[in-house]
Amino acid sequence: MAKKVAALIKLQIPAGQANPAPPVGPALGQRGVNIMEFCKAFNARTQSGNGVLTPVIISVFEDKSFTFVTKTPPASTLLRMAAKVKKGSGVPNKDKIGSVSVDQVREIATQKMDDLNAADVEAAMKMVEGTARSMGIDIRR
Amino acid sequence: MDKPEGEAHDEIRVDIPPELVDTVCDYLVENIANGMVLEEEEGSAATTIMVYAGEGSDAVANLQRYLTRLFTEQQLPVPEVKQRRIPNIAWLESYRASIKPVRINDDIVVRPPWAEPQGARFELIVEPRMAFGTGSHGTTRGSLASVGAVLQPDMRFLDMGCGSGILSILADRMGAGSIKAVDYDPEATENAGENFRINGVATAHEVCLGSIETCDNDQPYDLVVANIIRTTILEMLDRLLALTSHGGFLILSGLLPQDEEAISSALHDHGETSYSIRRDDEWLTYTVHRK
Repeated sequence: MAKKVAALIKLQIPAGQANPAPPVGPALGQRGVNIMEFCKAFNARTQSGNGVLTPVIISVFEDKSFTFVTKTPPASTLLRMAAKVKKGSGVPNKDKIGSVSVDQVREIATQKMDDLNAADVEAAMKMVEGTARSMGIDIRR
Repeated sequence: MDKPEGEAHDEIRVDIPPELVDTVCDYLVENIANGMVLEEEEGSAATTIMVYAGEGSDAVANLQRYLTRLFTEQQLPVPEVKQRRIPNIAWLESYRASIKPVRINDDIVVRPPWAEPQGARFELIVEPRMAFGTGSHGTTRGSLASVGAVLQPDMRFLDMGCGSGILSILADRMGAGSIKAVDYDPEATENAGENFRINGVATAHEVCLGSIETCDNDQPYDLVVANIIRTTILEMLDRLLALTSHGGFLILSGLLPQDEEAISSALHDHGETSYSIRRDDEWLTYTVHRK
């Protein structure tokens, strides 16, 4: 019989760098998950990710065992990487911090299609463009 | 990130509409915390983002200022940042309480100090703290079983990346001649020392804070164990092999099926072709019998 899921925990943490400090410790510890085992497994699976922020969804079962899946990095992270900027803008409408091409937006949207609730790539591109605007990243057309 | 033990943390929560979640997460990770928890309640249009900051930081004020600017520009109602203090002890205790005895094989059991003896030949007691190695993980089980299969009395034993010290404790019980346990994480060396005391480790031993460089002047060992991860193992494979005596054993773990090709290939490049692989869950443990 399949084990019953007791909780779903969603985290965003740097690839290959999970450790028992917050947010991992409190999020998993209070549900009785073996924190160090999660860190070991996450770091082993994401060690090639160069510390890029990685969403992970952890399914905790009633017996405290767990499984997890990792997702593609957030659109904001991919946009910063594409625009080659370190930080988003604090005042996105006024202070533009960089730009990306439409092709780069399409590439990011395609990469994130599985994780975005979008009907097609065009709809996903609109979401990515919205994120870019809110970070002060212009789209080059 | 902050040290998890011995202090409280400020939990900072804010509800963010889906279209701005990525943007706010990006701000948080760049300015406040190296990771976050996301909660999506059924029926709620917003995602609750939680981050943890050390006591007394100005993270809440900074975040509120950022959100005010961002949401005002977007012509959306500015969300309120909430904050509460949580003692670390609560989640540490919850984690500790979840640790149960684990039987590795007929001979070896790992258990927390409060659990009843399980009647195994080698009963290893591990106080669960923030160090890896409580017995229930595939790499720990694989490493324990592999050490149990090859360790002979009086062997010189090196435990690289010792975590809780669990492998060294087994080596002590099996009659190792000497033990050196190394870890770069002070939480691990502290926990290993504590576990050595709890288990009454009588073998001559040292616990070192650091990495492979702590062995620069050491004579080769009869048995070396490195339960780490692929990238680190590949980086230090030269030294690990050099630290393993000819005819001795090198046990490598912390490896996934996708790591097998790289590890096997690296061993062949070093002329080491005599090895076996133990598989436990998805995890691989190599036992290399050095030429």
